[in-house]
This record gives sequence, structure tokens and C-alpha cells, in this order.
Amino acid sequence: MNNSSCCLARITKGVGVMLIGAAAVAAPAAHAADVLRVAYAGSMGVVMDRFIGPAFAKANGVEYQGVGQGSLGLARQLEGRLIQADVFLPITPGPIDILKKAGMIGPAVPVASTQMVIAYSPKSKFAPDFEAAAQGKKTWYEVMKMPGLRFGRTDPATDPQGQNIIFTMLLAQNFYKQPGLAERILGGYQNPQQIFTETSMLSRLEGGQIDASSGYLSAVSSHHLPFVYLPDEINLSNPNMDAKWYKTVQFSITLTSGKEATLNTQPLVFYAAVLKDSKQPALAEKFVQFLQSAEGQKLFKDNGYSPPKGGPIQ
Amino acid sequence: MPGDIYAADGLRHSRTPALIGALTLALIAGPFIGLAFATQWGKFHFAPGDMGSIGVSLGYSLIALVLIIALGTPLAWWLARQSFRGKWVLEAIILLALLTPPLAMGILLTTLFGPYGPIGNLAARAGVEFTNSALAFVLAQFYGALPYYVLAARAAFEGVPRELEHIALTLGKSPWQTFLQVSMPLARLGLAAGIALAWVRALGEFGIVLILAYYPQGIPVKLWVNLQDIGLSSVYPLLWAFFLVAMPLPLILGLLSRRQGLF
Repeated sequence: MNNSSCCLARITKGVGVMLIGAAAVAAPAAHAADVLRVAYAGSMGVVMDRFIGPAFAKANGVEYQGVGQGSLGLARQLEGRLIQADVFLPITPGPIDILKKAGMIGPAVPVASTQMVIAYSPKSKFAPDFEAAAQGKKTWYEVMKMPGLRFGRTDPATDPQGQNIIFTMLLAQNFYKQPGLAERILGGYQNPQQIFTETSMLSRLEGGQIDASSGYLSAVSSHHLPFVYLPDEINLSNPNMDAKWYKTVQFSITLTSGKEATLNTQPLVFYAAVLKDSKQPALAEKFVQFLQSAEGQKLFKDNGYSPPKGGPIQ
Repeated sequence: MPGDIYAADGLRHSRTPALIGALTLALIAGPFIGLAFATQWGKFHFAPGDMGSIGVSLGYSLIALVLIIALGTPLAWWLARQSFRGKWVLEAIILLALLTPPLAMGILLTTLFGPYGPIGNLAARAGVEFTNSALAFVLAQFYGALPYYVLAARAAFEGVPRELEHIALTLGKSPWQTFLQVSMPLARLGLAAGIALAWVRALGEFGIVLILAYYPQGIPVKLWVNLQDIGLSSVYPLLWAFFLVAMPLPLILGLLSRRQGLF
């Protein structure tokens, strides 16, 4: 007993000393640099975390911290004071409006734009069909109607992209004169068999577990996934198509809050706004200017983003 | 009985546990066999920032573990050895912490320690950040793993026969000596299991960290970010690294407490 207890005490003491020592060594030193926190639309991960963020941090000697999630979800978290950020960078004006109502942001400026595309998995058995559609040899929606095709999209209740793919399908119905096309491809607006988080959707697409998914041109280019372009009349990118096409579709869904909401299209523009309770207002302002600068715009362009469209939201 | 086997100790043993055990083990091993096949060994490389996340995870988990052992052990001992009225309330509090889904725990901690929370706000004025800081990271892991450790340690102490402690006390040992020389050695198996469990929970904590300490990025959040920004291929190498750094401590603890060699 005595023997074992002394031995155990020694082990305990040894392990304790080892732990504290290792913790002291392994714990990284705290950063003293100013920190800029950017909350951005989940689809912007590549361009923000790997290009724009590091470039800005290096040029200004600050630390960049980006958080990417569904734009509407981020707006709700900021509004609910769960997270704090200096700059908010969502897609579409909807999330901006949420924070406008809460009195948390000033003007929001457009910094980039994108368009809806259909991404497909290089591992899918339908990949040759999609490739033919991408080259204009087949119609993309005929491919989408093929039996056994698994389509992925995000939740229209929490993510603008989930709403946009529904608009695209409704527009396609009119544009191609194919009644019932949206229902045929989507199987209901909130069809649980098709709805994933954006992260899970892209990884499943990559792994070939789903054959095709909705996508923003910007994000699928960043991820180097193959995709099919859609005509301007249905891809939600061209303000000139607004009156004649985009404004003609709407749909209703039940939001997470249980409320029924009728939704209309919004331009696929990425906006940047400084939060009023930013801890670094000057730095945040500087970051928004960087996004609009030639250097920032080049980084957007290199990552598959289109130039900003429309004016600021006052 | 047919199907029984004679083991090395010359006694009859049933085969059933071994058969079911093998099946269960196959179920557990399945995903990892899948991982070995899914990993592109030819293109095995780490994403930028992966090494940093390993340092963050290891360093802060060790600090969290030391805090958990230091604060959790007395509580576990107290719960195992004292009985008083209303003790169930304390047990309910620990169960509450254990039951709360990690994401919800992250939100609750943020309402308290976050930038707009009462404690977080006061601390921020004093220059102490409870969000996206080393402190926040350790706090998240501490809350994620502590209830598991307390329950395991308490069960370990409850397994120690009180008679032996009484004998030690009547032989003139002080309560403190009795604890160190009788209770602790007898509870060592359970305590080691508790420490191993706390370590694993702290390292793997994602839900709380996601809300409270997205930065500094430890391995679980970095896996999530890699998946978002780069894709599946960038998840597997970091996952292997995670196993490599997370495995030794619980493995060594198990071997030490059971006094068994590797082979």
C-alpha cells in the first residue's frame, strides 16, 4: 500500500509538473497587435481568409479575424449581441436591413457581385451530362430532371442562397416555358432531402455524395468545382433584367420563427458596412476602403467575383 | 456448455462477450478504416495555419485539464463522501452542465462572459478579453469537460471502500494522509479514466468554442474552416495530426493506472 501510494504520488506529481510545463511551453503567446474582426457571408471563405484578410493585415500591421456563416444567421447573431465584429459583409441587402432596423450600422457599400450557377460533382455519374450542358450541347434542366439525380441546396429560411436557387428555378420555369419545372427539380421549397449547410453541401459535392448543387459563381470558382452558367434572365446578376424578369417571381415559406414570409428577389451583391459598436472604427473604415480599392477589387476578380453593382444602401 | 472456451487461467469462459465485443469494435473502427482509405496519402500536406491550430489545441487543453483536475477533484470527493439534505440540487447542477448541448452552452457563456455580458463587459474595461482570446478558449474547454471529469472522479471515489479509510484513520493517519495514501491509489483507475475523458472532451470541444472562441483557432474549428475554405482533402491530414497529438495522454494514463505494459 505504502509503496504503491508513494509511487502513485510521484507519478501524479510528475504528471502535474509535466502538464504545467508543457502548457507553459505550448500555449502560444497572446497577440499584441490590433485585431480587425470581419463577419462575412459563408461563401466568401476563400477570398476573405486566404487573400483579402491576410493582404490587409500585412499592409496595416494588424491581425485579421474572419468569421463566415450564412448571412442571415450572422445578422441575427450580431443583432442578438452574441458576436461582435468591426465589419459586416453579407450578400444581398436583406441581412443589411436587419442591422439597419436594429440601428447597428451606417451606410453599406457594394464591394462585389456574383451570379447563380449550377455546380456539379466531377465524381458524379451525371458529370458527362453536365459537361455537355456546360458546353451548350444539352439543356441543363433536362439533366437536372434525370431520375436518380441528387441535388443539394441550402436552407431558404436562414441563407440567401437557399432562397436564390428557388427564384432561379421559378424564373427558369417562365424563361424556358416549362410549367412545373421548379417543383420537379426541388420537390418542395423546404424539401429536407436536398437541404444541407453550405459547408456540408460543398464537401458532399466534392466527395460525389450529391451530384449537383446550387452555387454562387464566386464560391464555386474559388473551390475549383465544375459548373454550368445560367442565362442572365435567371441568374439574378444583371440589374437590367430586374423589372422584366427578377421582379416577376416570389414565393412564400415558413421561417424558423414560424412566421409565413413572402420573399422577393434581391440583387446578388456583396455589401460591406462598419458596425457602430466597432472597437476599431478607423481601421474598419480603412478595411472597407481596401475592399473598394484597385488592389482589393483585383483580389475579388482573381477569385471569381464580379464587380460591384448598384449604389450604397443609406 | 457448448461454445464455452477454456482460457489461460484454466476456467470456463463464455464466447458470447468476445463475439459481441468484436462486432462492436468493428462498428467503432469502421469510420477510421474509411478515413485511411479516404486520405490522399500521395498528396498528404497541411493547410496554412494547421500547425498553429495544433499548438493552440494542445497548449490550452493542457491548461484547461490542470484547472479541471484542481477544481474538479475536491468537488468530486465532496460529492462522493458527504451526505447532507438537498445534495440532489448540487447533482442536478452538474447534470445540467452535462446535459446542455455545447452550442447552447456557448450561447449561455457568451451572455455571461461575452462582450455585452455583465462579466465580459466589466472584464473588458479592465483590459481582459473573454471573447476570441486564450482565456475564452480555456474557459470553453473547461466548461465542456469539467462535468464529465467530476462524474467520473466521483464514481471512482465512491468505489473506494470506506472501511479502509476508517482503518487508516484509526491507525492515526490524518484525513489528508488517508486521502493521499488510501483513497487516491484505490481510485486511480477511475481517476485516470476521468482525466482521459476530460482531455478528450476538452480537445474535441467544438460547439462552445464556435461561439465563445472562434479565435484562436484550435483543431476542431480549423477543421471546420478548412472544410469551408479548401474542401474535404484538407480535413484529413489535420485529423490524423489531431489523433497523433491527442492519443498519447489517455493511452499512457490507462497503461499507468492499470500497471500494464505495452506488450
